[in-house]
Amino acid sequence: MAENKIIKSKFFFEEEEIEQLAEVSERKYRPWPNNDKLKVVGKGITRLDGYDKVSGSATYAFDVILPRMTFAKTLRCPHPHARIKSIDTSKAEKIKGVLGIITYLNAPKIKWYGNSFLFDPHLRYEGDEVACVAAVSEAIAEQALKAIKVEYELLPFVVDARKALKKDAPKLHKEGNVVRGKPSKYNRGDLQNGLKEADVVIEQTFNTQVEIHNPTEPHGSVVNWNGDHLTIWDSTQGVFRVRSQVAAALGLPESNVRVIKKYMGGGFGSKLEAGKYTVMAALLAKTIGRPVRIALDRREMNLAVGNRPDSFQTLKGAVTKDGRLTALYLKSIGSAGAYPAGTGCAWPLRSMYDCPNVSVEEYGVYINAGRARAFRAPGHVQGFFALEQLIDMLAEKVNMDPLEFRLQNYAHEEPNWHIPYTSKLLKQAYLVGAKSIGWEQRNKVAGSQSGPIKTGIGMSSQIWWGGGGPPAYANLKLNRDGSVQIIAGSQDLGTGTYTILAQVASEVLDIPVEKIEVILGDTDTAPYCGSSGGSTTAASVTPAVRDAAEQMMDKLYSAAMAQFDLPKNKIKYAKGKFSTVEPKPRVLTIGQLARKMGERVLETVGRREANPKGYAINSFGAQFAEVAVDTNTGKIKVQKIVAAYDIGRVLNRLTIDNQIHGGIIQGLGFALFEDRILDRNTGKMLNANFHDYKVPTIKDTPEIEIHIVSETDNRLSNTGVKGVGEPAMIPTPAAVANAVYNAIGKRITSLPLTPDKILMALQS
Amino acid sequence: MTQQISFILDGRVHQLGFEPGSPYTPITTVLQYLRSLPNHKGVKEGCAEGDCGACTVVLAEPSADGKLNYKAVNSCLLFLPKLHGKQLITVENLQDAQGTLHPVQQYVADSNGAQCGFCTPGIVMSLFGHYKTDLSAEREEIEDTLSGNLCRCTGYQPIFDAALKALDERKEDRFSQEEQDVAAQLKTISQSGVRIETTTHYYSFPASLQEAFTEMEAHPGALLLSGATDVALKVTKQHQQLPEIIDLSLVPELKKIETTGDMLRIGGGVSVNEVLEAAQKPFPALYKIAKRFGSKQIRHLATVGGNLAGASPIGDLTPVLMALKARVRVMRAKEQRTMALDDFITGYRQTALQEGELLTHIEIPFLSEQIKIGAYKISKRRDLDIATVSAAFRLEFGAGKQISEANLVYGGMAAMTKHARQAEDFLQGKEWNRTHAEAAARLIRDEFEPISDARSGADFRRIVAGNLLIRFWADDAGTK
Ligand SMILES: Cc1cc2nc3c(=O)[nH]c(=O)nc-3n(C[C@H](O)[C@H](O)[C@H](O)COP(=O)(O)OP(=O)(O)OC[C@H]3O[C@@H](n4cnc5c(N)ncnc54)[C@H](O)[C@@H]3O)c2cc1C
Ligand code: FES
Ligand code: FES
Repeated sequence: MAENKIIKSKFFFEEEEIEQLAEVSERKYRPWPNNDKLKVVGKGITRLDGYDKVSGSATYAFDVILPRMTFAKTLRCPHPHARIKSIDTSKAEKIKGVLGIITYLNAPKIKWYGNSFLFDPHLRYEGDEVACVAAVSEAIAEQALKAIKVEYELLPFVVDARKALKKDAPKLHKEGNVVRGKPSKYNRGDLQNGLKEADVVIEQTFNTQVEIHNPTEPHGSVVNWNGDHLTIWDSTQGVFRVRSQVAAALGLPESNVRVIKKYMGGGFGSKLEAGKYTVMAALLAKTIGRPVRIALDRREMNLAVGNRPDSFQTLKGAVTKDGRLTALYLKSIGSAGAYPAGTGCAWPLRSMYDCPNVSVEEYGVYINAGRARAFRAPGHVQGFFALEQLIDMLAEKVNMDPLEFRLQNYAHEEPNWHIPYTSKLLKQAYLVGAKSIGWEQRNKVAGSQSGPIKTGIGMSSQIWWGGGGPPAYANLKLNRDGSVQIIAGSQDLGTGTYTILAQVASEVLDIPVEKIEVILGDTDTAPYCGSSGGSTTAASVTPAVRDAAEQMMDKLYSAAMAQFDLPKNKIKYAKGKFSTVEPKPRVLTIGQLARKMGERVLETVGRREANPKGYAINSFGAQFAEVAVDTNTGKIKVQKIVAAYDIGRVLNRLTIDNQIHGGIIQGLGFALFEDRILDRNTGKMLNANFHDYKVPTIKDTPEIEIHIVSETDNRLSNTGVKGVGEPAMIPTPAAVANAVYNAIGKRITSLPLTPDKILMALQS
Repeated sequence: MTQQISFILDGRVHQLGFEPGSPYTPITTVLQYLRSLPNHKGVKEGCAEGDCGACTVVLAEPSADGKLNYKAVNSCLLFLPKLHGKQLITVENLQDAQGTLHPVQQYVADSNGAQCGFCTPGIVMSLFGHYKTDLSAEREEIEDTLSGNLCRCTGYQPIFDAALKALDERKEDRFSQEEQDVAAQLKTISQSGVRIETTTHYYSFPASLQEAFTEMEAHPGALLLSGATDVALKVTKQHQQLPEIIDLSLVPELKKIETTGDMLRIGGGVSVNEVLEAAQKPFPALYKIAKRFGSKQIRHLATVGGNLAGASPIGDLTPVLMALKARVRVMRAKEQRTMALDDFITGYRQTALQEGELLTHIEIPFLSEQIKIGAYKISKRRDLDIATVSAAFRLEFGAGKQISEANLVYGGMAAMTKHARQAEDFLQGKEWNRTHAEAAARLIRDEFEPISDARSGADFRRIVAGNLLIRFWADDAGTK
């Protein structure tokens, strides 16, 4: 039997189901037992990169310094919609220290965002790229930007997706304002029948706002040419993706482009694609013959490198008297921004509950604003905010406990494809979470407490994919001194990839994690792994590492058998040492054994195995929120969040808790105050900075309790891991909204839940 | 007068002269300076406007008792000359020569307080600043220390855990051993008369009030600054050049806090952090509001003079100081006048300050038993946020239960900080009970015409403004 094989691999990455050919490992390993029987996996091992980070020595793309390096800054369109009439860079060129300027007049016509270009004289949002300057310092580049004269022809603009759908709305693209020209639709069963069958039908609209990723580290790259070879240090979630995109943009063979990323300051989806800035920097570097560093500032990050699209959702839900869902309907409109982007939010409604009749119609709409990108659980955070409030409303209408209602409509098989799940422990998560928050203590009648401060409890479910899949590879090298390197083309966004990969190898090789060096994020040295998004990294890459490590163990056993001249069953291995008692006691460390081999480095290549056929792979969970609402001021204080998850095997309790804490706080930011505000009159963003665009601080953190109800998902892979990064954020806003309703008896159907909305609802 | 500044970094005195050809100017920020050095890349830029804390460094300066005061500040808001006479400490300086991490670093690493790690150097420095003071290791105090450090990854819990452990076990560290030497070294750096003149900039540090007036006369167009938390944004955000600057931060007369018989007198150059310390006992309402001002890093820099002179309609200190009937002292060369804060603020970002005048002091009369004071700030986020609406109340009672005088002062409700006059009149002579509070609240809602903006709608502002008075009543009734 061949050990590796090429198959058709299909799995969900962010919102998209991707299908590709992939070479997979066909080697089958005994599933690991539960974590309590394992030595390293599942333990709360602190990060291997902790020292680098607390000491300030961790190097980010931003920190790379090269000899003769120069600095680039971008001139961005100050208007929401305009055409360049003329552009004059002559004054800027004369400034001492300015080295090069590119605009649409002198840059190659490089396709971008489908039908647009790297520099497009048709500018479609405040922030669109007009020119890029390289200079000996950032300050001089900044000065040069001011000296560039641009004459704009102002065009009518639209910054509201609902208005953009109107016939007379200004058009951003030839094909009109609907992305791909038509809505995307989904139907199962028969909606009308489902509605007829029901005793109660509720129709309700829900809106969610635009959220900006705002990772702490700015987007940026340092680029350097060596002849016709280009090296890029980039803050990216996908080194191989950046390599392909930049190579294609510049017409270079991919073999001439090297992308390196060691540390990065977060991405949350906004760094999943190559930035225009990288290509602009590369063009400038080529012309001026010096390395270029380009780093965006906070304002540029708010305008130009992605966001979670808003949503305007109309839902219908239908139930029978005894609480059986008979129909769900969603029509949604979402702002893609100025260029094509995904805006859908229907997956929660399609896949959370057992509902036979479902109908969905979704419009992605162009508006004159920054383009959307995947943002931590794209579609799901918005979708659940609407769905889970609707579910609570339906439960209330039929006098059922919301939790009981959810259990009653529990999907025992995947409702879109009618296939079983590899594992689903959502019910356990519900029960553990409910117990821990004190579910029975919530107000039986919403809003019934007296006094100015009212408390309430609410919940939300969540579903996500996060099972990952092939292709993903890892090389394992054993050096003569017994030290080990794992090399993989994946990346650590701050999630702990360095640490968990070392743990997996350490478990198999039975050597301390400190002996294992993990090298990630370098397209020239590492075998391919996908981008780090969709909560797929751990689920895709750890099985490949186990495969590599198990092969290394096989190799070492072979070597030990040869060296001892004994069959395998006469040799024992533990803690990095082979031993035997026959004919006399002998011990060999793996280092000693490696030194007996002719080659100085032993190497194996691990591959992710195929996902099991005929199964749906999902992670599940629920969050429960307890809030206190001040009815004088409208302030919501989230006092406690209980999170209960089924995410397969826990690789490292500390990194899992980190992910869940971080996801909840991001969810709270979205629930309570994060909001891109566009001025309707000018089409410009009013809060493109941290002063006015608020993200949570330490004072916004509630008490958080985390329960993991799963041990492992052995059907899925040899490590049994499902991702948790996105699931952590999905249910938070919905749980808070339901808790607010329970506290004040008023439903707030649009995010963020600001004091403003609370007070107005209480007044009504 | 010297043309150069001197400060300690990496264990030695650095001198910067701003000569022609120097890559630095007097409005280069400390963040830009550090990042231009090869060995201080740990200092990060996340916003360049004081809102993220990634650039946090610690400044140490000698105190009266010969020790050093350590303060975490935002290096992105700090002009280079402000380093003069101080020790600059960055994340790279915390380990000892053997590479042993400082406890604040070790605990952050041990509790996985760093995920992506980009915020970590700033967080470590904020914690180090806390470590070097005698502030408690209680939850609230730790949150206060860290509220100016944004972390987008961790959710803060592991950072909090690390802080708790590190601060709980505070002991002498490497810096304690070097403290006396450093203080002695700093003392040798002349505190007086730094004046930097380059082809593009003029930046001076008058060493006394008199000198300040002389400077102002000689440079009538110069921009005054104290903490520069407002002024720095003109450079980092608007890319202005600010050719002439007079920096008041080394004027000793402006930095004093004195108690005279019946009042607390605070110099215009006193930082908001020192104000809150001084206010804690006599003026709890001022303490409460000052505690929610910006972040600790901002409060170390921002001054009360800068706050009042800026006259922002949403400035935090104005309403509460008005309710406290604070008086403002302004001075020009030899003239001096004192006025009620009410008269000092004259309009949107306008004050009674005239050409050549400085705000030198504010004076807050101590309160008698018959006075109740309350202050509230409503903002979108709990901290490091500008007020949507702020309110400060003062009720004075005569011999009986009746209110003899009411002062209800609001920020964020109009183009300037303003009294709710109708409600004040209504309350006068009334008893302080729920019915009257509610009636006054209705009047308040009607007498303002606030704007709708990105922070909130006008209706919300109106409703909440009234509700805050009811809240004041409830809080007051609750404490009885
Ligand atoms: C991140 C951040 C958060 C902030 N948060 C808050 C907040 O919560 N609440 C709030 O109210 N403000 C806040 N501010 C605004 C600012 O910090 C305050 O207004 C501060 O008090 C200004 O003081 P300063 O000493 O820094 O002023 P500077 O910037 O030095 O000066 C401000 C103005 O006052 C003038 N001035 C300074 N001193 C004098 C003097 N003695 N006599 C006459 N004129 C003088 C200057 O010429 C200048 O025009 C924040 C600012 C930032 C950057
Ligand atoms: S860089 Fe954000 S506070 Fe200084
Ligand atoms: S660890 Fe990433 S921002 Fe704090």
